[in-house]
Amino acid sequence: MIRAVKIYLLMGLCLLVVACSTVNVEENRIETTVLESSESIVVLGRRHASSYNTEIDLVSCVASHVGRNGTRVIGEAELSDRLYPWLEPRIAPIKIEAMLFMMNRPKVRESLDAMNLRYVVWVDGSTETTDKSGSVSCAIAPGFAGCYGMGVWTNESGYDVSIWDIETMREISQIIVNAEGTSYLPAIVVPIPIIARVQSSACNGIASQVSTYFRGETGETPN
Amino acid sequence: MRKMDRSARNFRFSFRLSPRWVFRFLALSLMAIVVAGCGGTTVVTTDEYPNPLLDKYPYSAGMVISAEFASQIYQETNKERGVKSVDLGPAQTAILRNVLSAMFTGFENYETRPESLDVDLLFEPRLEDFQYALPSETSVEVLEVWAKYAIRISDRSGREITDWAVTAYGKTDQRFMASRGTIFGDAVRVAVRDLGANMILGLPRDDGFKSWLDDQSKVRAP
Repeated sequence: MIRAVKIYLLMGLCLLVVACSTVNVEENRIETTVLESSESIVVLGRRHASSYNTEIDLVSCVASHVGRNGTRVIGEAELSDRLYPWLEPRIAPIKIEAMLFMMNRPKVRESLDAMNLRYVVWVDGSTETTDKSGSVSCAIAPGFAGCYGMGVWTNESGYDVSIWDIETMREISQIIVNAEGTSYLPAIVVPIPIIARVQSSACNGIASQVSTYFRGETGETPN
Repeated sequence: MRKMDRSARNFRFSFRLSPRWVFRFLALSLMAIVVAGCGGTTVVTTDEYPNPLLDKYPYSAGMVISAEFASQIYQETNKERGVKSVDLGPAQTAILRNVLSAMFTGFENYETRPESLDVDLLFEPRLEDFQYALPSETSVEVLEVWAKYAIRISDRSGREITDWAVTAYGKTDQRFMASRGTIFGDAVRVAVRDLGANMILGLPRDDGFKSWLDDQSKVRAP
């Protein structure tokens, strides 16, 4: 029994092992602002590119991290539904001038005012697997199952973040976040995933920079 | 009494978590994954879509939604693609209803084409083509869905104004621990929303509809 517990503990510890990832955050702060308590922001993902999709998970991760310190963050799905179809990938404004055209519609303006929405944070980019090597083979037989081998893959994230002030109709900040990490999957009977949480690191990088921006502070690169 | 103690001890022993049990559990899990992978996915779509934020045309419209269109299912013939069927009917019906009722001041639903119309415009949609691409089939890590619709629009007298072609496109990224059915359903949802957006953008640009609108304004002008 003790041996079995030891095996379980070892397996559990292995699952907790996380590979490293590096994050690089650059910001071009065009204007400085401090978010007022009555104002709210929204984090939206760009989905107009043909070869990639800004991940829904990444956008919701950034929104929830930014909202942790009391900032009023409107959900992406909620805003897309309330302003349907004006934020659909086919129609969504790419430039701030197009946002002005959209907001000239009285019903859109009314809806945005009701939510007290002041800032739009656009996130454009994706996390992709750029390199894969090795292989893991698994076999099943009566009374036995096991895997053997080694898998290695590298994930890279690249996100461009643009913050729009929809009251003054100006782009007020641009943030570029790049993250990279290599994951390993050694398997000797049991596969032990050592995953680099690249997308999660990119999310933390974006969220901390956006949060510091709205507090009027200078950000530091998180790792 | 002793016999009972021994049987109780045996019972406990039989449920000890030994490495053999761990291996058996792993083997069963792997088998379950293999069996599940062979089953194929049936994609069920939602029929809940937002109401568009639009200014209405001062005309009434009707839409003919046949039973076939309302319960349309795309059946995959290639078993190797891992998708059995895609349930499109409820989603396409819901978005067309939402969009047309938001675009026109009056809106009526019909199951078949009525003999006499009491609306200004009649919309008769039909699905012409449906395609998808799995991430394993393309170089990109997204699941893509395309659909092509044709919408016949007639005026009050039954004269065809236009037979308008509308496309819908949706894609979703692969998410951790999300099933293929969930991701596929999301892509269809995005495509159906895109159908609505394309209708809202495209209808005022359609030549047949534009010319009908011009005629109406001439009739209404003093």
